[in-house]
Parts: sequence; C-alpha cells; structure tokens
Amino acid sequence: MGLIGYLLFCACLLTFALLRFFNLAGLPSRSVLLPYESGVLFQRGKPIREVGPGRHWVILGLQKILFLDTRPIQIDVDERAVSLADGSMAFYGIAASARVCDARKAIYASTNYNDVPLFVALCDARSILGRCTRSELAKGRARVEQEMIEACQLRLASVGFELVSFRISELSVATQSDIDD
Amino acid sequence: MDMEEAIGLISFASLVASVLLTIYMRRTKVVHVADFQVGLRFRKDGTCRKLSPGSYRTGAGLDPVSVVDMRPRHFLIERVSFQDALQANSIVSIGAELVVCDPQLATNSMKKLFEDSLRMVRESLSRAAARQIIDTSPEGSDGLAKALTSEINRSLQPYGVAIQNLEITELQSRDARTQWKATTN
Repeated sequence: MGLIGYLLFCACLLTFALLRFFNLAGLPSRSVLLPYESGVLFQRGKPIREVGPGRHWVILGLQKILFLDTRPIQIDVDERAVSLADGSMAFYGIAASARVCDARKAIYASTNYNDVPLFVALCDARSILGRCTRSELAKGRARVEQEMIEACQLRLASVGFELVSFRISELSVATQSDIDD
Repeated sequence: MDMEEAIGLISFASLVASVLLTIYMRRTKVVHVADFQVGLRFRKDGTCRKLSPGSYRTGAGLDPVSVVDMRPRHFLIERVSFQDALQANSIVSIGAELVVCDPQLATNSMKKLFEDSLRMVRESLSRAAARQIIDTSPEGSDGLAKALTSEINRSLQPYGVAIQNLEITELQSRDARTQWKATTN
C-alpha cells in the first residue's frame, strides 16, 4: 500500500508539472471584489460570467477577473465654447455623473471606460447646442437641458452606463462685440 | 533493474521535474490575452506571431509577448480653424473613436499609440477639412463626416490605426457668421 501510494504521489507530481508547463491548469487563488466593484471573469481570454462584490476563486494562469469601479464618474467641464446655428457663440459648462451598470458592456465599450461619460456628455451637449439659435437658448434653457439628458441617457445605456445626474452649470451667449474683441 | 531502483529513479525524476518547474515558474510570468485584445509574440528572427485569446507565458528565455488593445478609444478635437475650398473661414469640432486595425504594424510604427495617432488625426483633420466646401446643413455635416473619415483614415493607414463613428459636434463657416452679424445689426 505504501509503495502504491508513493508511486501515485510521484505520478501526480509529474502530471501537475506537465500541466503547469503547458499552461493547462493552475493553482486556485482568491480574488476579492469590493462593494463598489463589479467585474467579468475571463477564462482563456473569453468572458465566462459577471461577478459582483465578494470573494471569488480564480485559477491562476487560466482565469482572470477584470473589474470596474461602479461608483459614479464625475464630469465637470466649464468655459467651453461652441458655435450656435445662427453663427453666434455660446459658452457652456456641464456638471454630470454617470456610473457603470453593465460591466460587460462597459469593458468592451472603450479602452478606458472612465473616458466614456465625458465623451458622450460633451458630444451630445455640443451637437444639441450647435443646432440651437441664440433666441432659442434664451427662451428654453430647461428644454435644451432635458434634450441633453435624454440623448446622454440613451447613448450611455447602450455602452453599459447609467446617467446619475446632469445639469448645465453655465450657459451664456457671446454678443457681437465680444466676438469682435 | 529491481523495484527499489525503479522507485528511486521515479523519485529522482519527480524531484528534478519539480525543481525545474519551480525555477521556470519563478522566471516567467503569465500574460492573459482577452478576446478584445491581440497578443503579439516577437521571435528572435524578427518575425511576429499573432496570439489568439488565452494565457501565455513570457519572461527570461522566452520570446516577449506584447498585448494590443483592440477596443475603441474615444477622443474629441475641438474648434479646429481652417479655410475651406472656397476660402471661407470655418471651425469644426469632432468626436470619434480610434481603433487599431493592424496590431503588428501599429506596435512597430508608434511608441505611444494613442498620443501619436491623435497628433496625426489633428493634422489630417485641418488638411482634409480645407479641401472640402463647408455646408452647415445636417446633410452637409453628414457628408463632411464621411469625407473626413475617409481622408483621415488614408493618412493613418500606414500606421495600422483608423478612426470610426466620426461625428461633427460643431461646424461653423463664415456664411453663418455673416448672416448673424447681418441680423444683429
């Protein structure tokens, strides 16, 4: 019995060595995701499942958890200029925040997921302001803001984000003399 | 060879294998290549092999592995001034995504992929826009977006990168400004 046990032990050791050499198996390791983190478990480079906060076992060398911070990403831009539809110029600022709600979509959306909310907010804000005239802005700032919110929500949802808050922090239109100066 | 010698031989082989494995594992590291990445294993003869998603070992004594991210990278370029084909003073702002088309070419041709590409996009943008006749209508913007994408991608092609989903976030030409001045005066 002792001899068989010893031979089995050696065989296991050799098998393990060969498996490790060819990267076929690894040691299990524990990975901890914090309460504000969310992630996706990848095995051999392919996504297996989404994982939430807590402890998760991963096989070293085979599996990897890519995790994202789900706390709101703050967007704060001010004194940006944009041309309006009538040729005048508006100066605007935006204060907004967005957070990851679908980790898998957010991972695939961009090389750096933190850049996405700012990109979306600025693109939509500029496009919407660019379609307005000076008189339209003077009359309905709230309507313009609402239009921006709807555009951002839709676009962020498609890349796994949720818009938490959005407001135009600053909006002024330059007069002709300002531009001439 | 009797039983005792065989056991001794197996024990010795196992010990040697374990020691070699430990050394190997300490000298190398695992590189994970996800399905949104491409791994490049550079060989000693100068050639390069693309690695599909999976886990690979690299380190001392092994060919180096470089991982290229194929996901888009978003960028904005704001208020680029230029004169269009009719010499009208114009301003354009764009938002677009930068993607890697040829990871091997991109790795070999650029040190800082994003920064260097963005510099080229900025230069190409003003050159390409200056060749267009600016029409600030929605149809004109769409046409300009297509033309700019095509022109910029032509200049980025030798570097293995491209832009996609280009959107014009601002477009102003002298005509609009003149019109505004006329209405306010």
